[in-house]
Amino acid sequence: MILETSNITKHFGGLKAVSGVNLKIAPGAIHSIIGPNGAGKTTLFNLITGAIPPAAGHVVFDGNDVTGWSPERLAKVGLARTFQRTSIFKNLSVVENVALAIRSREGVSRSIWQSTASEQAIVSEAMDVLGKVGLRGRDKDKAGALAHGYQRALDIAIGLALKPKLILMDEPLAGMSRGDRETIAALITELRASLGVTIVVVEHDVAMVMRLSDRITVMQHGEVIADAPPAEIRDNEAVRKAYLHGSFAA
Amino acid sequence: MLAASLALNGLVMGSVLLLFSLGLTLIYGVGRIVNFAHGAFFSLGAMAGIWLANSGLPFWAALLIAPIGVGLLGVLLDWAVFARIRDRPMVDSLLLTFGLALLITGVLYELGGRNVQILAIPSALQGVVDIGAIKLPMYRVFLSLLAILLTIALLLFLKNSDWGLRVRAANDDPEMGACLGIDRENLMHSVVGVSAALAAVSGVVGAPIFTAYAAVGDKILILAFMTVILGGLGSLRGAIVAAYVVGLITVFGEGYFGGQLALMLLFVLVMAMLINWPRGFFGEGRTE
Amino acid sequence: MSDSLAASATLSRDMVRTTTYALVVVAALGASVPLWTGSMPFLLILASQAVIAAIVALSLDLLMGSTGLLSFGHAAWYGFGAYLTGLAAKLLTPEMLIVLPLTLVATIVLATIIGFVLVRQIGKTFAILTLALGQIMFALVFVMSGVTGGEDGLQGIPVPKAFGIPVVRPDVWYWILYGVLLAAILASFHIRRSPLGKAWLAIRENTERARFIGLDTGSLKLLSYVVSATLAALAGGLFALFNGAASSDLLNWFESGKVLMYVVLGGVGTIIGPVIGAAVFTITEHYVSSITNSWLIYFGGFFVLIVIVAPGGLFGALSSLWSRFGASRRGAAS
Repeated sequence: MILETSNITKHFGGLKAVSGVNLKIAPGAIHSIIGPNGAGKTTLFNLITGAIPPAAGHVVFDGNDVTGWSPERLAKVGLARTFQRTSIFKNLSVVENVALAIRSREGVSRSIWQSTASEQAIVSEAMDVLGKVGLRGRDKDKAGALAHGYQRALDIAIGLALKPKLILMDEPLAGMSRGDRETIAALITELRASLGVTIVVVEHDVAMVMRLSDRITVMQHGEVIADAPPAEIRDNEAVRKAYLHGSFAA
Repeated sequence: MLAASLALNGLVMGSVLLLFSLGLTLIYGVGRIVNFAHGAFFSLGAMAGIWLANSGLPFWAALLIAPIGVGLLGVLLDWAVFARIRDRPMVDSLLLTFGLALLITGVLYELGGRNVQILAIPSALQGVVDIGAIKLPMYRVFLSLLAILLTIALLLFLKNSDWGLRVRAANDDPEMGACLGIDRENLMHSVVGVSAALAAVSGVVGAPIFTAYAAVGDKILILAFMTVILGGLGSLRGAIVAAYVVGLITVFGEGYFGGQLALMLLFVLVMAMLINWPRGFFGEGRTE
Repeated sequence: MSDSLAASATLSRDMVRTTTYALVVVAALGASVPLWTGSMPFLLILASQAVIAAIVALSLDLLMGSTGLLSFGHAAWYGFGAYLTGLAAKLLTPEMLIVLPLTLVATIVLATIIGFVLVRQIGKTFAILTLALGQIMFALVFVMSGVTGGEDGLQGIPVPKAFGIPVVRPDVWYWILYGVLLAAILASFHIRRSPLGKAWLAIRENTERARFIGLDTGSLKLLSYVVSATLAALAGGLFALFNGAASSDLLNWFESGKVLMYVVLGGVGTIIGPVIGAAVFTITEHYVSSITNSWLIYFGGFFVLIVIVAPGGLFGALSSLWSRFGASRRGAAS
């Protein structure tokens, strides 16, 4: 397993946001986490990526116990994420957005001298990453000026530039047009195929998730109620019940 | 004996600080504005007290008129100035209130604020009260009681009135407040007005002790900032406890080490506390 | 975001061009000052003060413009540098090549300790604490009035020497100060283009995202705070030696307000904008305050006005004018 959480728990006041979740992610998988609003998916993401500390439980990533590690430390060992609300550096150029991540990965973010050759190498790598997400022609644009779908793609590109072993995507399809959704979904499949990176997705679009994923974890009220391949999830009684009044009728 | 007397004076100081800091917390809670001009409202209140007294009005009238005047000015400022930057990033509101503080201080300098003046204590409040073996000037007792009463009144008002309900809703979550159909503009006008009036009350009642001049509010502003940070930014009960802590530290520090050193000690204490408890006494300060 | 103070540093080509022109003009104008003020030594002294102000402005822009941290008490470091340098010159040696480095080292140590706590706070707490820090440094002058001269200010700083040669002539002083300013401007531009400068910008743009790409935002912010404080202290040190005295006015919060104004007026993050802002402002202040006593009113009023109507600063406004002009010219050509 590349990522494993054991009994991870977080309460906000009296609310059990995440309660004793055991998650196992196989290397190279596209693993989706679904569940009704307020099921604790995003909180689980925040616990895994170090944005908030867990009240109990452990996170093991790539053989290391990373419980309580800061986001910057996790990024350095190969755990990247994208955000529900697209999170990019809006006033910087598209290529610079990606170059920042590359420099961070290379550990040169603090230097004040940089040879032209090494800067060129970074830019050309950044262009390659942009090429993978279909942004190659937009490299000089201001990131904030990109259309919504492209911004989401850039968010993913920034994550990929870290050459992560695993990338967590928080609702990559949310708020997008049908066309954009197809593009991003295709991108996710393509990334796994070409880079072998493990992808964990939190998503509302269940139809898309069924198509995309190797395995699906279903959460409700902060707990896991099912964890199985898509075909089994489709027929799972507990999942049907959880979603009966929910946003989908899959 | 000195210690007991300092403790009493610390409570007096804490009460004034509380009254002053409440306005700061209120405006922060509803508008997410850190108001650097709050000290200038205090100075304005103190100076207005002097002007009104010089024009022949009794102390009590000054105590009523000055806060109302400054409160109305607050409403006007919110409508004319703060409203222009409502949707801008936090940075702009900080700069704006900072500029406003400079502007008000500058105006006060021109209106006689270069000289230090003292507001006369009304005859009814002269004299000394014996508390055990300690003598405390009657005026200081009055000052503390007034501050505490006003604080309680405000808290009750916040708890029970319609206005208070809106303030608390906006305080918890500005977006939620908007969903509840709260007219944000009018609410902010009133909050800034009340906040400015509170600062002005502290200024007027403080004027017989802390004196009155253009920059008299500077020091209490720093103390109030230390108060809201210790209590946790935006936390009301945090501010109440912290006001007395800061009041006691300030007065004891002044008594034993002198005023300037006391201020430095306070700063070091606040910095030290922030390392371990960045969200104040009750851990409920805001971190956004 | 684009019409806010927080985002006036964009990487548009027009901005780069405006910056280049402005830099050339500033450099040429600055260098020519001693030529035409020969018969008016007073103007040369005013120009020297403007140059010192420009260095302070640059120091604050290295913080605000890089990592987006807003310091409302930058005078703390300016005044700290002035007093420390003045004292060292009085008590140790008037050799500025010894006392100035001494001041810088002391500032680095103190700013690292204080900055360690400060940069871990959210924006608003940071802003409040920096204001308080200014007042604390102010208080320190009075606590240590035996050494600092308290109310009377620090008097009798000896004529400083460079390489053992006394520095007295106003034009020599001007060249020293101007040289430091130019070096600081060039260094700032260099850092801005370096990986460090870009990582700083990333923090200002989006701190959360910066953390998630593995940037250690805490230590990067601390670094920018220390660099900024140190440059401000250098400016203060130069001022004390140049002026021969230091007073507690240097640590007044009005002084911090002025420095902020230079940066806001010029345009946060533009490097050259704050330099121009400082020079324009210092000279204006001199002439306006010789006509009227109520300088603070104009100052405060103008401050409020700038924040409301031109949050990108004058330099930002100039750049957008320039790009509009450029666009219409390109339009005409096609």
